[in-house]
Amino acid sequence: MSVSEVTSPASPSTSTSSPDPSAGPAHSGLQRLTARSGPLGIIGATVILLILGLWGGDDAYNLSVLTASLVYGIAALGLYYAYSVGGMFAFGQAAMMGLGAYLTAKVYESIGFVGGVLLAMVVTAGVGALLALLLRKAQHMYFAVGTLAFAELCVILFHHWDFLGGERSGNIYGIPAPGIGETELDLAGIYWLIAGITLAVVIVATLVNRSPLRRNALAVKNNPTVAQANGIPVTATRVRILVFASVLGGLAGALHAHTMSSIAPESYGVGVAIDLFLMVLIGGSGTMWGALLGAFVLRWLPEFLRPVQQYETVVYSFLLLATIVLLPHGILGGVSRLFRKVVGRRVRG
Amino acid sequence: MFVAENITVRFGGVVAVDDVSVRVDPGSVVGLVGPNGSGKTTFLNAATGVVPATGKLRINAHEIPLGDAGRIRRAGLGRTFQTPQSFAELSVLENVLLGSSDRRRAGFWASTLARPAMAKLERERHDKAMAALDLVGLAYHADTEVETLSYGQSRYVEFARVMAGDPEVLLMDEPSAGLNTEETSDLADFVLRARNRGVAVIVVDHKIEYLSRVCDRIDVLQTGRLIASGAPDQVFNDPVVVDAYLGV
Repeated sequence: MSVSEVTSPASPSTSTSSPDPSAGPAHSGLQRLTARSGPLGIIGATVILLILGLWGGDDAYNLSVLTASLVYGIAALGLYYAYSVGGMFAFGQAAMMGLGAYLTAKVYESIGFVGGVLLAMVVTAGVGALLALLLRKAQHMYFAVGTLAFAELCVILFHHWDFLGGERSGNIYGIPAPGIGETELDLAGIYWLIAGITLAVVIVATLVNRSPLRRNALAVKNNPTVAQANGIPVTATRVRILVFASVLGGLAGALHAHTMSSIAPESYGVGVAIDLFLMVLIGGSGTMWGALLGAFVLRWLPEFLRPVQQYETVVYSFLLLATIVLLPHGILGGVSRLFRKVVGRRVRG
Repeated sequence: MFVAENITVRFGGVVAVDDVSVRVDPGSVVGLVGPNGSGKTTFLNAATGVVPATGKLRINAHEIPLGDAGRIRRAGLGRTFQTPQSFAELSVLENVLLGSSDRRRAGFWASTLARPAMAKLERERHDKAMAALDLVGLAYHADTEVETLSYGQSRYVEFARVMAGDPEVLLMDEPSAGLNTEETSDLADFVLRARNRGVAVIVVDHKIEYLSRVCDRIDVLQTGRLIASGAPDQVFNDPVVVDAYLGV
């Protein structure tokens, strides 16, 4: 039976469901679907990246911090999908970065920068899928513990990278900057390359946000039993989201290796996994832009605190705590709330 | 047609549903009644595929493996819950879109590279969802966050979600709970219209007057076993049922 067949004037319109003209036109729902993180967001991101690049100019310090912010932003964006959209406490995101970094460090000489990055993305996609399948029955903190164990195993793997030809310590030095063939990019070139990749990631993320995949993932996150009863493939949806998150982690890791020129296991440990979570939470876990903003805040905060280096850790921790307490929905959540208050006040006159 | 044969559900040593068989023909409504804890909801859960069960399930002559919620849904079975279940972070329209039985083009590639094909299906799904919202009088709330709706509205969002999937079998778990007399009467109209269009409906409920109005047959469960089955007047006057269920 189709719904149009049962439509009739006598349909059960309850006293609570009478049409409310103030709620907008009946078919505004599609507009809402398409408006979410739409072209305006992409244009905004492009403008911001251009402004930042022009501001960075040829200042090596600014450019390197900006580039690092973008790289961590990509990884944090992946975590946003795993955590905020998929409802998975994925502490393995830093390990995915590590896998991407170590893989590209191992293969760039034979297949080049682009090949290394692509391989990192493919392998982390496979590892993400395996992890999601392995932990398909694990919920909430059990999932977190499972991914923590995975992260620790990866750090041990990176420490013993020598069986793959690396150093015994797990440190790898002399990874060339991104480039094609013999040509290596300078710092400004690296920034523009990473900014371009970030923009491409933002476009893909925007498309995902406006697709049934995001809708299914949020349904699985909110109510897996009802989602299942509605025929939504719960495991497949979780796998897809974790694969997407892991690919972004692998991509970020590969870019990290080539932009930092050296890597160490500690760069991808549990501490970094927690940092990535902080980026998502502080920026605002309700939107993908929060992850990118959070990455900038957390990468720049230590730089701003250099004048008080002696108390840096104390001030840093205090600021983080204050942000979490005062802005429970992150910076963007706070801004959005403030905006609604101001607009609401103006509407009320 | 919905045929469930010898359905048994065990939770450890407890047999929640014991060898229950229910058949519902297209265009008929069966009321499933019984005291609390008699296994009514568990039977619906088993038929929906969200709890492990043994037995056989056939929808429109196709045998569907129990426990496979996706296949059961695709076979045409829709279900509503005792407490209205919605997806909190989504709008009313998005909630109803999730009821679509068409799950094609919902993966990563369809969302990115193969987008035109996905967009075409999304438009069709959107039109059906809006028609379902029109049906329950909530079209003007399509854009509203589902969390902000009242209890009664949430229940109708659930009805819209299940109708957006064009169900051939409809399982309704206490749909009248929380509704007043007028709303319950509207609900009965809704069930009867679904029946008149050929849907096989199972309604779990406690309101005898409303069940007597909409049901062609009443099946009675007690401690997981089917103890009586027949026309509403006959069953509600059966001393065994009165003793077991009504307690009067």
